[in-house]
Amino acid sequence: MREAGFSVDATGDGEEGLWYARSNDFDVVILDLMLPGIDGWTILERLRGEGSEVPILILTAKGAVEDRVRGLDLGADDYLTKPFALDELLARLRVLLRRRYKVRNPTIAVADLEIDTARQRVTRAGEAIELTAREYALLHYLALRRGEVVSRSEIWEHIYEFDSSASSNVVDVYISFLRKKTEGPDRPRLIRTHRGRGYSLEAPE
Amino acid sequence: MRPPSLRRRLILGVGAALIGVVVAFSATVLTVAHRSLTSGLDRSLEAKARALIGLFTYDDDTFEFEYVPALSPEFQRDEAPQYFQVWINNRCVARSRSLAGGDLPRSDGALELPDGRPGRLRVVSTNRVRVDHEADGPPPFKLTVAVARDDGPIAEPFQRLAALILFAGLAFAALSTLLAAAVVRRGLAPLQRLGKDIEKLSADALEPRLPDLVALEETGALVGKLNDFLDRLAAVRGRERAFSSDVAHELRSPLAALYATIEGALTRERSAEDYAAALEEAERLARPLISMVDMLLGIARLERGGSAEPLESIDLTELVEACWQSHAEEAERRALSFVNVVPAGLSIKSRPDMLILVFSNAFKNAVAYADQGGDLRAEARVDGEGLVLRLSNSGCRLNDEELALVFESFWRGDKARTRAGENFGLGLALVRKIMDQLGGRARAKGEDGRFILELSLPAGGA
Repeated sequence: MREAGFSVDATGDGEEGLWYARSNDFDVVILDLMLPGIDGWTILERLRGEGSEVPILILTAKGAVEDRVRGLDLGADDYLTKPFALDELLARLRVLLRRRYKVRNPTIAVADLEIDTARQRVTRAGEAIELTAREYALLHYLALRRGEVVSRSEIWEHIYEFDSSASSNVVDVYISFLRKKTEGPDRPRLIRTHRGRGYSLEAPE
Repeated sequence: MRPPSLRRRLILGVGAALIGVVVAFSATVLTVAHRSLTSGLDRSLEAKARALIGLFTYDDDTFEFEYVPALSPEFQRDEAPQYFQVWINNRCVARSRSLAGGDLPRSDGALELPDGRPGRLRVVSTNRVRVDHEADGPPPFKLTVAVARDDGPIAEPFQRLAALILFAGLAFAALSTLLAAAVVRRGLAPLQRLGKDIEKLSADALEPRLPDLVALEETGALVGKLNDFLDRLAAVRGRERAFSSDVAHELRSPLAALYATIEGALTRERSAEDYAAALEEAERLARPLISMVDMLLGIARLERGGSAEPLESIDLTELVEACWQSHAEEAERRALSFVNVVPAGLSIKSRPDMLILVFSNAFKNAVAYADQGGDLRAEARVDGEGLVLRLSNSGCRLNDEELALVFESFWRGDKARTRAGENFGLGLALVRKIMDQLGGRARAKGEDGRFILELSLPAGGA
C-alpha cells in the first residue's frame, strides 16, 4: 500500500486502532473485525456513535451475508472479504477517497495537468511527468482538494505516517520539487502559496 | 549451580602445572639415573669379560684357558651367581658352573637370568688374544665372551632414589599448591575489594569513583576503564537531569504566555475581533511549542532506530536550493547573503525526507546565528569515502569547548538563551541523530570566524 502511494499507520490491537482513528484525520480506515482488545464491530459502533465520518472499509474473513449486511448497516462504507486481490483493495480505497473528496472521475484535471489516480500517472499538456512516491502523494492530495487552501499540517497528516518526524520544512521542500517538475516558463503556476495558511492547487486565473 | 570461580581455576591451574613440572622433572632424573647406573653395571660386566679374555692363550692352533674357578667365586656360588660363556667361532668352549650347561644369549642388554632374576648381559668379541710365539697376522678365529649378572646393583639404589624423588615431589607439589593458593588469594583480593566497591554504586550514586589501583598493571587498567565508563554514565545521567530541566524551562515561558493569552481572553465578554486576535496570538505562541515537541519526538524516534523511508537518488544541488528557500525570507530580513557552490548535477542515494530535515535545520541554525549582514555558503565535494557537504556562516563566536557542545540538546551559543522564539537548541541535535541514522557524520568547527557544519555521507549511500 505504501508502494501504491498511501501513507499507512497500522496496528494489530483494537484499543490502539480506536485511539489512532480518534486522534487522526485519516482518509480511510481499513478495519478487521477479529481484533484483540476490542473487536471491529465495537470500533465501528463507537466511531459512528461519536459522529466520526471517516470512510471505513471492513476487511475480514467473515464473508457471510449477514456479516456483510451487519457491517454496512453499522456504518461501514465498504466490505471486502479475505482472501482478496490487492489491486481490488487499492481500487476500492481510491473509490472511497474520491467519494470523500467528492471527486467522481478517477482522472483529476486541473487546467492542463492530469492525474490518473488509477495508474498513478501525471501528465501536463499530454507530457508525462515522473514523480517520486512522496511527490505523487502530495500532488494527489492537493488535487483531491483542488481549489481549497490546505495547511502544511493537513498535508503532513495526510501524506506522512503517524510515526514520522514532522517538519513543515519538508512539506515546503516537496512543494518546491513539485513546482520544479510541473511548472515552468511555458507552464503556468498551478500550486499557489497562501502566506501563513498553506497551499492550494488550482487553475490559473 | 555455582558459577566458575577464578580463584579455584587459578589454584587448580597452578597446582596442576606444578605437579606436571614435578612429574616431568622426576621422570627425567630417574631416567638419567637409571641410564647412568646401567651404564656403570655394563662397564663392570665388560671389564669382567675382558678379564676372562685375558685368560686365553693361543699357540699352534690351540687355545689354553687359564681359568681358576676358585679365583672367581661369583661364578661358582649357588646363591645369586654370575654367569659367563665363551665361544670360539660360534663353538662354545667354556661356560661357568652356574650356567649348568645352559647357554647365554649373544647380544647386550637386559635379560632374564637362568635362575629367573632380572639381569644385564655384556658380550665382547675379539680376535686379539695372548700368543706364545709371533704369528703371521691375527689368529683366524673370533673369541666371544658373554658375562651376565643380576641388576641388583642398580635396582636397589634406583628404587630408593625413585621413592625419594616421589616423596620429595609430592611434598613439593603440596606445599607449592598451598603457597599458590595463598598467593592467588592475595592477588585476587583487589578484585574482591573492587567488587565490593562496585556494589556500593547505584544509578543515582555514581560517586565516589573506584579506587585507583594503578600499582597493579592489570587492575589499574580495568579500574581506569570502569572509572571512564562511570564518568560517561554520570555525564549521561547529568544530561538526562539537565534535559528534563531544560524541557521544563523551555516549555514554561511559552506555555505561561499561551495560558495568559487564553485566560485574558476569557476574563470578560469581548468582541469577536478581540477573540479572533487572542486566538491568533495563541496560535502564534503554540506553533513553536509544537515545533519543539515534534523535534524532541524526532530525536526520540531516531534514537529508537530504523527508518522505513526508501533510498532514492537525490539531486543535491536542487535539494540544498529547495531547503534554502524556506529560510530565504528570514535571511533577507537579516541582510544575509547565500552562495551555493554545490556542484551542479551532484547526486546521492539517500533518504530524502531525512536529508531535508538535516539541511533545513542546518540552514535554520546558520540563519539564526550568523552575524547581521553576514553570509552563508554551501559547498560539497566527493572523495574516496563519500560525500562531504559544508555549510558555513560568518559570525562564529564559539570557542573549541563550546563547539564540542553544539550537538547537545537544548544547548545554545548564547548562554542567557535570550534568543528564544523558535530556537530551542534542538536543531543540530536532530541533525547529528539523523546523520548517525544515515550512516554518516556531522562535525562542527570554527575557522577564521566562521561556523562550519560538515556533513559526511558514505559512498554507498544511506
